[in-house]
Amino acid sequence: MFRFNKKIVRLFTFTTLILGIISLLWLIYDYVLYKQLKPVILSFGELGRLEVLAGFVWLSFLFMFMVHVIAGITVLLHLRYFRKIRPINIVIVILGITSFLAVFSDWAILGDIGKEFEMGWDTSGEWTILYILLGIHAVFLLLMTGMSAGTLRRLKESATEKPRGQKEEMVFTVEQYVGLICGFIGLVWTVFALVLSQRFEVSYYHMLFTSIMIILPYGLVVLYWFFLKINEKIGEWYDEKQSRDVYRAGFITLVITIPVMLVLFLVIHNDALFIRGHYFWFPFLIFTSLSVFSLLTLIYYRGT
Amino acid sequence: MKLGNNIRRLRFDQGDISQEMLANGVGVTRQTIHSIEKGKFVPSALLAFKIALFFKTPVDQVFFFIAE
Repeated sequence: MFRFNKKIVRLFTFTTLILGIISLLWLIYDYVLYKQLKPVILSFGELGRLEVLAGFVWLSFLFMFMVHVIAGITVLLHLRYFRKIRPINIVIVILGITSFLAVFSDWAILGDIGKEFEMGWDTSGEWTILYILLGIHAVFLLLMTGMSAGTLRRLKESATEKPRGQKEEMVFTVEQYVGLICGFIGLVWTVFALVLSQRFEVSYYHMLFTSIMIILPYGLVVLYWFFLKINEKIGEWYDEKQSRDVYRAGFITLVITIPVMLVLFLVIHNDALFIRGHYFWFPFLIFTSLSVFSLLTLIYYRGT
Repeated sequence: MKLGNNIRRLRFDQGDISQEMLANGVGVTRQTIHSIEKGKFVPSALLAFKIALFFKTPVDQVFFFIAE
């Protein structure tokens, strides 16, 4: 089994702490710039030097993307090293995924504001969303930075490493939580996009891109899990209870998704609602399967 | 018929062994030991023998049938 020593955990934690502080400063910059940009854009005034300064906001999104990926790896390392899931870990995972997805929303909304400004449309609604997303980033980064600082102190205090179990429990559990969150967000987004598609054009590529972004955190956790298991035989990936829970969850997921997809199949061929969005069945199937499977695995694993 | 067990008692009798320590000793997760202890999960024969071996006790001293 791949083993992480204290140095790697400390290195990632320290990097996350530094990047978290820089990101928080960058968020303040974004906030100040939004405050200056908003009245100018709403009154269709001249942007002047603000246009140049706004370029740094785009740059901050790239930086934030990187910070979220590193923070994700750090959280997984913490869980693996300390072998304990605390409520704060769950909160950080949920906020982290939301904040990660919000980076792409920031990008899209700022792009929309730019286009609508050129067309002379009102953008006050978009600004409200932008501020909410900024708040989500701020809460996540504050918690992540605080947790990193606390972890560095804990690492300093613990003289010896904690005993390691032979079977992976933390990543397995976190994987199910992330699957549940990504699946649920994906389902909500698919239904929202379907409704939206009745009034506006929601392109196939837009749907594909957003679906990949939503499922990306789950993909990264699964990739990390495979990375941990790569040196083990397939039969040793789970212990016997985990295997039973995964098989049961998989079977029930199959039983649930078949009738759901049958209903969807009948609706697609008989209802004009889906004429403009005939490709929605695929993300719907993926996100339904993911959320049902993750939820059932968690219930079986924790409850029985 | 249900399967009962003395795992909890054995853990405390043999020096406050935690569920995690037992799990590490027999190669399963802590959650699996918790479920076996609570009678919610019936272990395989192999795991039952591993647990008995861990406590250095015959398997029928660790697991027993409960008539319903």
